[in-house]
Amino acid sequence: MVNTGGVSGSNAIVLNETIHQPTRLRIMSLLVSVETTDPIAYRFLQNHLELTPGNLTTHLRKLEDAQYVAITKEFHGVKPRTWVQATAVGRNAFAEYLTNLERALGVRRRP
Amino acid sequence: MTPDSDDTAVLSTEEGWQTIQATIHDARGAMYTAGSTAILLMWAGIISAAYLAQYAISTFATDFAEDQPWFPGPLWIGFSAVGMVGSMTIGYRAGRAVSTGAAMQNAGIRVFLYWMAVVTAAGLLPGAAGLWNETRAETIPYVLVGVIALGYVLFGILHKPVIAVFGLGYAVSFYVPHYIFDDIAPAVSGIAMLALLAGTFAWVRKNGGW
Repeated sequence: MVNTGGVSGSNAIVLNETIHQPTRLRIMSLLVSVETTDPIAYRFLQNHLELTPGNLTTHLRKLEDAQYVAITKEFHGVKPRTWVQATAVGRNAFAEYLTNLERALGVRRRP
Repeated sequence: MTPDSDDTAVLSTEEGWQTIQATIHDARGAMYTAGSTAILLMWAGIISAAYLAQYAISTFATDFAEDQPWFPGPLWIGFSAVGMVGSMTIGYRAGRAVSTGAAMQNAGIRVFLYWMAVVTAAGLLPGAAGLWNETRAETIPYVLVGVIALGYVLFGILHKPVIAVFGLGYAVSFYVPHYIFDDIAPAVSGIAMLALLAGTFAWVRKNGGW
């Protein structure tokens, strides 16, 4: 966990460090910006976030290990397609992260 | 490409907040504009072809044009039908490349309804202005093109600036030749539209954003 230093003592605000990393925060933000059951194309994630396949895969693996995302593969004809989806666990973790972030910033605001 | 593949990258709380805001805003914008540039370029090609076809019929098939003076109507309806089917196909494929879920479908429906509203307004306004009659029918395209160009500009302002610029170019390529030239105005508009198409194509190819 990342201590924001925003509050002292036992009430110190900590941010989920699995999410509080530049690339993973962008990935999670994008995944939770759509409806609950919507999968997002791996290729779109890569292009939209301007990541290399290796970089994206590394971060997705960490999010998958934390059970924040689910990755599925399907074949569209002979072309393989990979879909990424935020799980319920991931959405809850992101919501909690957002709440803590708001507390650390001392404001109440939602994107 | 982003270099932060490890966990050492530092992110302040304020940066974290800004990252969330920007990512969600960009992602939703991408859904609304999926395939839009390709669709616009396709329409530019179709409109150019329609202008040139109209000019060719008026110039080289004069007997037909005199016997059937209403021929531009079916001509444009035919080209528009091709454009509508092409737009839906490109939009559907581009949407599938982003997501197969409800958010993408909702975005597609909203974009479809937006353009339906623009096209409906373009059709109704000339009627409301009393232009649907023999003496004033030739001024209908001036209203129609203006409304559609406004549709491009508004959509571009909301989602993608290049579309707004294209809308302005579309209006200029129609109005300027029609105020300067007479009989050859459709041909000049068609050529101007082709130039606009080439310019937009080159810009998108250089800067990305299909």
